[in-house]
Amino acid sequence: MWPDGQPHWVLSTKLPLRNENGEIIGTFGLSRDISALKLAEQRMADKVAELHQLDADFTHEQRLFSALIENIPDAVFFKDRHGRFMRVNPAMAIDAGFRNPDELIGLTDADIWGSSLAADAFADELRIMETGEPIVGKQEEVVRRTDDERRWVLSTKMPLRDADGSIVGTYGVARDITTLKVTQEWLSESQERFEFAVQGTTDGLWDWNIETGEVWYAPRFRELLRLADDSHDQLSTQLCSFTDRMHPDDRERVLKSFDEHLQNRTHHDEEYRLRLASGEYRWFRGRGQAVRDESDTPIRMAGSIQDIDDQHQVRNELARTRLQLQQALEGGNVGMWDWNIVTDEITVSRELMLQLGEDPDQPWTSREDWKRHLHPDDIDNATQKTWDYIEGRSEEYESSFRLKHVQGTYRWILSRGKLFRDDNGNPGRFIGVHVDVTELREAEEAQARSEARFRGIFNQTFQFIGLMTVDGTLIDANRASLEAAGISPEAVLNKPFWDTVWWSHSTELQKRLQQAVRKAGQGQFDRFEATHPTPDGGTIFVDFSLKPVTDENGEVVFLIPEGRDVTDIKRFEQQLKTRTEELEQSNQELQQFAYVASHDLQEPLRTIVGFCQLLQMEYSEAIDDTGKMYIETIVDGGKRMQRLISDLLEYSRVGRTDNPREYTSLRQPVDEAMALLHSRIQENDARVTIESLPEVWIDHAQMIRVFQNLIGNAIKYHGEKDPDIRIWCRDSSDAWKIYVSDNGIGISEEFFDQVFIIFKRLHTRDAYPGTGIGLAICKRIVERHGGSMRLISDTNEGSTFELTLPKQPPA
Amino acid sequence: MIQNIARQILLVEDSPSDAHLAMRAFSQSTFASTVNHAKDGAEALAMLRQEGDFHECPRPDLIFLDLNMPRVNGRQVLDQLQMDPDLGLIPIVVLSTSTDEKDVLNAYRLGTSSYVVKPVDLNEFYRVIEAVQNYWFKLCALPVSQN
Repeated sequence: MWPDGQPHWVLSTKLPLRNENGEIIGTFGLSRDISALKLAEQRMADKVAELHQLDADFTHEQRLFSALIENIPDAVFFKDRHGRFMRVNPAMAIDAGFRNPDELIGLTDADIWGSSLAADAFADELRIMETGEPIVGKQEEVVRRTDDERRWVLSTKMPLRDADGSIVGTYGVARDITTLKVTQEWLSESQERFEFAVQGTTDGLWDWNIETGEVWYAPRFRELLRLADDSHDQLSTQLCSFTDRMHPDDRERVLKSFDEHLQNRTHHDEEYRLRLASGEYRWFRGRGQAVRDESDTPIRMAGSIQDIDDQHQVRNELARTRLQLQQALEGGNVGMWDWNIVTDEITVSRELMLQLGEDPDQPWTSREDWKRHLHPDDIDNATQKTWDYIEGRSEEYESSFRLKHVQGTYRWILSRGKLFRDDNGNPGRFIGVHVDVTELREAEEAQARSEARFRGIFNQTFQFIGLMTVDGTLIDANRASLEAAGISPEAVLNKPFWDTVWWSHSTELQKRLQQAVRKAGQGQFDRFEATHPTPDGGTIFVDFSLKPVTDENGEVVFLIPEGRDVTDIKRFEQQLKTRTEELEQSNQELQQFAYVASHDLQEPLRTIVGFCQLLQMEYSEAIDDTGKMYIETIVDGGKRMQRLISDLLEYSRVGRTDNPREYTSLRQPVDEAMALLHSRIQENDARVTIESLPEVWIDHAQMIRVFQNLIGNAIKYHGEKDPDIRIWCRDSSDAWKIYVSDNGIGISEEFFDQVFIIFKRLHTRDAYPGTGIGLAICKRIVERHGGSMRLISDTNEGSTFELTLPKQPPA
Repeated sequence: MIQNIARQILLVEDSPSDAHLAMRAFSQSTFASTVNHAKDGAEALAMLRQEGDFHECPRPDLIFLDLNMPRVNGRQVLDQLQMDPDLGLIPIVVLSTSTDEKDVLNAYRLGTSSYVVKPVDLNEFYRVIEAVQNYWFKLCALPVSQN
């Protein structure tokens, strides 16, 4: 059997070729197929010719005859006319099954071989004797009678002539060619088989005669190279026509392999490219085996080429993939395991051991090693998963478990594998990988925790929050927002936000939202008030905002809509507004009332006072002094009341907001107040000193009133000395402090607060006139300017009033 | 001393007591004015237009109009007089208890010629009436009706 799997008969039998002297003149052997056979045939014919020669020389070499026939391994016999053996040589005797040649004398073929055989033989001999023509090289199958041994002989029989030349018998030589024949048959069979194989094989066979240098190619060989049958010249019998077709990059290697094989008997099994008729190259696998002579010199080499181009591609692919895989395994910290289920042994890769901090040079050898490293909680599950897969309950094998690291911690391992079954379907090899996913798992858990936290906040908050894509599709909404509208997530997720129930009730709001989405897409924050319907038919007000979220490049990746339910606030606002309006209204009405009342009160007052005075004027004779006094009292009272009413009216008028305010220097109202008090200043020799005063936001007319009051009071309440009044100011960061001080009678501390009470007077009317409303009015005016007023003074040291006016006007 | 020409005065005053006091003031003044008293705006206008019973009512040289805010009768009179090209020539003195700026402004807007605050004190009042007549009758030249 040659390596290519085809039966090639190699016969190592060497038969010597002898001349009549018994000298060996050559050898012939059979080591090949058809050509060898042809050669053998040719040589056989040669030999027969030689025998002829032998026959011719026979008579002349009688002396050598005995020596020859005694020693020749071929059977030599002499028979008489009747076919009786006259003389045989030892070889013949042996062939016939006798020890001694003499024992054959007188016997015939019939005694030795079977009768039919003998008959045929005799017939031949008779013919020879008759015709005088030898029968050369006839193959006969002989069966010894004694033991049925079958043999093939090649016999040559000739007529035996006496000295006269007349035929007296026959003689011949029979060569045992049993082996040869068997071989021939075998050869013939194997030739058939071989030819059959040659035709059938996809391999292209070649045969290189090393001595002649010629190469024979099977038709298939040509086919493989896509050579047409008749293009012999394309593939000459020279070896170079073979080697020249080899790819330049491969040739050297292949020839070297040839050499090595011929010299050192190494295997010649190479893959190389051969050039096809078209000029392109394909991959072939070439094998060859040399035939050597007895000096071990190679005399022939025969081989085959096999088109492996397709496999080659695949194999290259595979090799590349395998390399990648290997790199990936090494780079990615992936360990491999290989469990031979039959022997229950396991092999693990270095990486697998390194994953667990173990010594890779002392790898696991059994599954027990694996089990020992398993986390106790994972043993059951891991085992179950393994057997589920092996026993066919699950289609794939994927298992996660913890393995103990040498440091004592546990690593999370993801194990995947594939089971290979034998032809009977029994589990054979289970091969897989271990991937260390500890970090991944921890990251997943951390992320899950973070997600849970986020979800918690997302859904716990009572504000409305969601998540949108840049184009306006809603991808998440928190619980609060869903509940507010009474909807489920499916109703609104993955829809354009403006189409959802929160917005679909108002085209105006939808448009506003779309506008906001556009803006947010540009990276701008937007905010506006919106309304949403509630499931019970009501409406809520929402402070809605849309925030863009950008990635590290500043690209907007998604939007966050947020809403605050401000319905309550709005309601409060509304209430506040209403309340304020009502208050305003009330205030107005009150003022109106005060106004009207005061006027309505004035009229009867005038009547009282007027007619009393008429009495005084026109009936003074009729009234006595007491009566006059009474009337005087009434008149006084009336006048006082009139003043009170007037002051009251003024006090109420302070509350009106319709007076314009402006930024004016306080100096102006002070000056005007001074002008109004001019006569009184003169009368009392009052001195007023005014420092520079700031500009303030004031109601000019009202401020005049204030200073008129203050300066007037200062003059009124002067003591022994002439009134000396000072007015100055101080900066107090966000306000001005104005001081009006005098050197009058002062006010004792216990009354500091009371002076501002309306109508409260600290002195009798006799001592100092006045209704007591002045300071109350001043205070009210100052307060309406957003400021305040207080008194700082000491009795007999004079009074100092402090007014605080804000620099910024009140809202 | 009695001033020269006897003038016609129309007093529009709806309060009887106020009217009485006013009449006393006029009588006590040095001016020999004849005062016609209209009790309300409607009557005042009828008198001015010399309608009906008042067809012989003389044309006043001066009108004293008590606005008695906030009743609107006085305003109506002012309004009407303003519209009348002839009657509108007659100077009007508004008598009012209000010192309010706005009321003053309104009165002038409505066409009054002067605005006088009525003092409570009677003597004061007498002096005011005297002063007003003094101004209008002695100082000012009054327009003469073309009718």
